[in-house]
Amino acid sequence: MNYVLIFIGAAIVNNFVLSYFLGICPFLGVSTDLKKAMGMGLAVIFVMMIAAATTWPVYHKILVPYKVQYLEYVAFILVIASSVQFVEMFLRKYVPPLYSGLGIYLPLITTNCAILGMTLFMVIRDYSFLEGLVFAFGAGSGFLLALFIMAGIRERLNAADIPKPFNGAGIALIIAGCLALVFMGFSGMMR
Amino acid sequence: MKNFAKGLFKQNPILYFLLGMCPTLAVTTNAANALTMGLSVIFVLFFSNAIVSIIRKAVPEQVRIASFIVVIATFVTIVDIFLRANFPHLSKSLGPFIPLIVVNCIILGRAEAFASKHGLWASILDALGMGVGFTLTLLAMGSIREIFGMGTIFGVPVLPGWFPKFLVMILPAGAFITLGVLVGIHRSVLDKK
Amino acid sequence: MKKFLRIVFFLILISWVSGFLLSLVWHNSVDKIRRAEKKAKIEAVQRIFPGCDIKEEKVKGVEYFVAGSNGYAFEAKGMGFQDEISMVIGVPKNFDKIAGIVVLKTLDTPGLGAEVAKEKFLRQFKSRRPPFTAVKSAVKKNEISAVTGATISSKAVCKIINGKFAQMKRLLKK
Repeated sequence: MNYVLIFIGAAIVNNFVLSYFLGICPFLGVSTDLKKAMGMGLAVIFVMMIAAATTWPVYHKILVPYKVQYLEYVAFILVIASSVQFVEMFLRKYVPPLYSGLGIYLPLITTNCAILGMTLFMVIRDYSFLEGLVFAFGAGSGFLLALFIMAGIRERLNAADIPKPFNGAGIALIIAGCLALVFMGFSGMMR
Repeated sequence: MKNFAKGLFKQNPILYFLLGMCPTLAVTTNAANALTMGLSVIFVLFFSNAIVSIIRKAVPEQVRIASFIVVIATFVTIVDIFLRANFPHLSKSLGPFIPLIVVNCIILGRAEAFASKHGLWASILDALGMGVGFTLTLLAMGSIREIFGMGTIFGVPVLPGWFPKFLVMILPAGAFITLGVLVGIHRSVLDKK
Repeated sequence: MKKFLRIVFFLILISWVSGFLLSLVWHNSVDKIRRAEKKAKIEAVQRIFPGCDIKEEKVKGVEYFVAGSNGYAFEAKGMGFQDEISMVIGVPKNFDKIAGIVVLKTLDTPGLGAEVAKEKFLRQFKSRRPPFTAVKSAVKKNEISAVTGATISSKAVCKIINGKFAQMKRLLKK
């Protein structure tokens, strides 16, 4: 039951993009068409899981026992960056079809704040390893959901008559605002 | 001088490049938070640009990004420790958004696009210009949202009591909408020139 | 191979320098951080029991404060809507009511969830006896009116208070 709550909490109620503002840059950047949005979203879910699976042991088995929690940020970002790099090399060599789908997004994701943000929240909230993985999966799914909805709206927007200065980023942000309002409606689902 | 001035308005990192959106939206619920965030980013940007510019010739090409991120993360941790020691209140209200400066695309973006290709002085000026431009935009966002949402600025009441408070302005939705409008205005001013 | 060694060497060097620098900064500020945290707690206790001598004590590893002869105070933490809420609760020595509550930290939505840190919400607890329940508008004895639009944060605060109050009552009441 607890796992379900963590998942729904991370994916919908406290959607990373729309209520924590994490991962806005890719959210605006690749939400222009549905296919790209799907690829990016799946890649984020994938990296989220890897990040959670690697940073959790680093924090609880290395940083805490040696009382060097202040190295948290440096250690996390290094672990995330290097595991992403590793996965990228692995995919390119052994799973080329997957690489051609997700590969181009992987390096971008290292600097996606949603990933580092997720690992920090995981540590602050003191999740167990399994809870952390579920949280990561939820956060990634929430990102995919927001990105997908946004891409759908923006494809329609191409046909709309928007004042010229607002075309592009301006209108996208205002729509994101409306989406954030919609997602607030979900907050009643918790507890 | 050109390196400094371009970041203020014309190539403003938020409004023009759309970089560093997470802190822009998240911490601008009031003017004081926005200012703290802006100053922290100036500090990190200044040192990371300087260091990256100094070590740019020694860094092996393959691990360029990783090395830059380590430099950035180091200075972010210093800011975090400093704020916790000296301004515990601000540090609490900014919460996890200080560590997230590490992945603020402005800083890595400038390190990668500018400091790794230019000398020390140019890089420092670029960092200051971008940092100040970032801070000013944050401050504008924070002030607008605080005035309309709470009727105050830096905690001082400025609006008459009969003026309605739009709670939505300090909610996430208000952040997106305010920024969207600012981006539109910025674009229309640039287009006229 | 030589290139590879150079990369590894460079990464080790840069991480080492960064680690060294950070440990230097940390060890210079760690005392100050601890003091700042303690000061925030003591100030909160003083707001609940003005003009009292505040002493720090421990019972079975749980930290609490004694405010002269007026009562006890202790820190309570728990999950709010988005993030942890932490607060200081003051009670008289016989644990028959709440003397006062000060919220130290909440990261819930400003304007909604964060309103639970305001006096307007917190004074409802004063001079009343837990366990509390948060409802839309309070009528019955143990009910607290939740902040409009922030039922979850309000419920979380009640839950944290109820839990900590019961725990400390068990530990301290003679």
